[in-house]
Amino acid sequence: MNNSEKAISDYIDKLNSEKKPREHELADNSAEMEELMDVVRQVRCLREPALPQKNFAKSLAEKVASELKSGTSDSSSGISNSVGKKVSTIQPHTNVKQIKNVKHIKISDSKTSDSGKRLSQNTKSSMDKTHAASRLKARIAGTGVAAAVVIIAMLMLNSIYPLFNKNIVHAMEEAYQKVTAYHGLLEISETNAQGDTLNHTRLEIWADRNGHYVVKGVEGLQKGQITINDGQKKWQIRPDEKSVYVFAPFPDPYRFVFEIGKEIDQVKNALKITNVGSDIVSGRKTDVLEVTPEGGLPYRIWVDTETKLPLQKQTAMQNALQHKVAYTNIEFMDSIPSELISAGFPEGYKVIETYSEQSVSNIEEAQEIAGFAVTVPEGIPEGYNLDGITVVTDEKIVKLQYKTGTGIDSKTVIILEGKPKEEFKPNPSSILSKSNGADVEIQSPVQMGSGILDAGGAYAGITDISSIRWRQDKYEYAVVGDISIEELIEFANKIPGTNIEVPASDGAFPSKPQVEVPVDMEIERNTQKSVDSGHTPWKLDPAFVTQVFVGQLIYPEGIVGNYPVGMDEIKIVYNDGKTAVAQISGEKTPAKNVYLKKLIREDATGIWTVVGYDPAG
Amino acid sequence: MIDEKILKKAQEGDPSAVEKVCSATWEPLYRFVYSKVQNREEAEDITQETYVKSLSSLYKYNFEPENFSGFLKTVAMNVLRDRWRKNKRWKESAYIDEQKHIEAAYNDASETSANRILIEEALNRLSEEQRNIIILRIVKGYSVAETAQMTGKSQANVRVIQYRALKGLASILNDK
Repeated sequence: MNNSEKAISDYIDKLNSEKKPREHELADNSAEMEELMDVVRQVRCLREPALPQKNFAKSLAEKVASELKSGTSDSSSGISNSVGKKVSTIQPHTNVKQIKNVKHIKISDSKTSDSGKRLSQNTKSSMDKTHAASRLKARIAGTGVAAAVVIIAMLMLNSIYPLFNKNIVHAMEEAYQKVTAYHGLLEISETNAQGDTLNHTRLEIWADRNGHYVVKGVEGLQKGQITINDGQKKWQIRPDEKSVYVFAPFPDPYRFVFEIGKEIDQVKNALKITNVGSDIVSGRKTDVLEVTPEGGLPYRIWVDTETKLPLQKQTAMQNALQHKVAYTNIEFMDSIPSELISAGFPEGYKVIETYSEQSVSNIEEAQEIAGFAVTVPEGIPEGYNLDGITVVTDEKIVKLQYKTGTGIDSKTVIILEGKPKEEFKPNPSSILSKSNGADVEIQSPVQMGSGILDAGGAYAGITDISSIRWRQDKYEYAVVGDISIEELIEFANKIPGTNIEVPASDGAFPSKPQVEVPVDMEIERNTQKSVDSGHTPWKLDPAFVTQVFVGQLIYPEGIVGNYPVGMDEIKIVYNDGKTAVAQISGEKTPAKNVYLKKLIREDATGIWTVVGYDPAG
Repeated sequence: MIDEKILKKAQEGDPSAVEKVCSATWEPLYRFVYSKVQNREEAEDITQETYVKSLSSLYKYNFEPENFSGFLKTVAMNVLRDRWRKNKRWKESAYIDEQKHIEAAYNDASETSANRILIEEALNRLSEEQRNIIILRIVKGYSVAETAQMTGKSQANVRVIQYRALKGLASILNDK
């Protein structure tokens, strides 16, 4: 089969999936290909067109009205700057410093990349601007895509320095550095393999770099609900129940999808980024990037060509479902409006506390409630300050919360301390270390909340949160935070008497297995993909993988009934996150030690594979 | 017919007026655009761009409010032409002057049915094997794997036949 046969076949498939073929954007298709594509389109006219979703006319009208209001059409005469609190004229020669000092100016954009040309038409269009300003004052948070002066500053910078020559990730990071807060309308949709939209959600979002946010459900399952996190507390207003649910502000597993800073981080940490073309999203010209995360399926992200900030994201089709998230409009501001974030609880609503933590003002009060003498760290790592003391009243656990930095760079660390209620058993998937000879459990991220972690808060399952748990002098401790393991160990070692060793990270076994087990990497790669899709999660647990392996050693023809070796007979004695050794007790086992490795991916999502064992006896 | 007052309000971005205009006119416009691009994603995008361009440039042209739908299609053709020209995909041979262009847009129904007849005639001149594969793949929308299964051919063979059939169709249509 030659390339043309494959290319035209792929083109037909793309049209059949009702997606815009890449060839419609390319200028370098061969004449033959152009001719064949033309024939395909003509033949395709024999079938009925695929009509849009039921709400198309409505959403179309909203988008059109929004663009018309903000004057984004190419045919609009010159610049139509809309101004919020202040009106300012920006001349092409205005220097960056001057621009940075002016806030709340929005430029109506610009589907095209002619912003420079538009800026130069300022004088001519001053009347337009005044008109646009008065229009804007009359409405809440502008419709249509708009950008703050900080973005203009960035654009000016772009023209002064050849920022476009730098890589896209750097440009995105630079752009985000200029953003202090933003307000946008987010559309989330799920599409199945047939192209039908199954779920459609619209959220109105205000967010700032401090991690504070207000999320209002406009359409979909969360319609009418408002979720607010002001850094001190988090609450959700549910008008249909006339209730307010109050949650702990940290860690916050809810957040919202498509948080700009987080998206940029993901692109930054990706294995591969490919520019696959350009597109128009919400009237903005965007560069389309295909991002391949480490070990994950590639997804696409649409980055505003001018502002360098992400506007839309589409995941790969997985399990016959594809997710698409897009800002249909976004504007940048100084801060979240205080009337939103400080709104408080609506009058007459029932307040439901979902966690039983009592805030206290000093250690003495905490000790009184908890009923034991609290061990306080001797000094804390530089830059951190004690931010709060709370007691989980029913579990008698004391929590000391420390914070460092401000804004997006802010980090939180919590020390938990309490009396243990059961035997200390590290999570089998955790990295193991020692403190004065005693076991230490290290999880990055926290996958399972055992002991004090389970009782002290909802930490498990949240990405970016790591933990260390250990026992000392009849008390159990844990340190939890959104910092690295090494930094957490430094924190933990400030507790008097604690001496946690940094676990080895060279991926070498403490001793060599006596029998090597051959591995088929193709099978492992496929298993990893299967696990990534939510199947066979036991492959992430070295104890479980050991149990299955030993079972197969005993019954090579297949395990029937219960596993011949119980989980209580398997102990993970070594785990550095990349390699692990399981020790098996009991009389039935033909292996006393099983050696496991993460062969495909060495993070918490990597599967374990048995690579060797030591025969028993 | 769309009331001129509503069009004026819509031009200013009045949401209710825009909704009235869109609700009354989107489907023929969308179908027209779809007939050119043959995929929903692009058709939706161009339909939106067409409304924005049409409404914002309404009174720059001597359009007749009673034929707003025709005007929309003319603008849609311009949008398509601009996009395709940018991608050098607008064939010189297919280039039509502004007047023909407008006529084509206004009279797309008759144009469509004429095209249909031409395509059907061209398909009938293919071999049965080629015609079947083209119908299954393009008109019915089956995948290569499904088409291979239904016709008892290998997937590679389906692609080869499909390619040859399209070359044949191109030649037949060019002769017309």
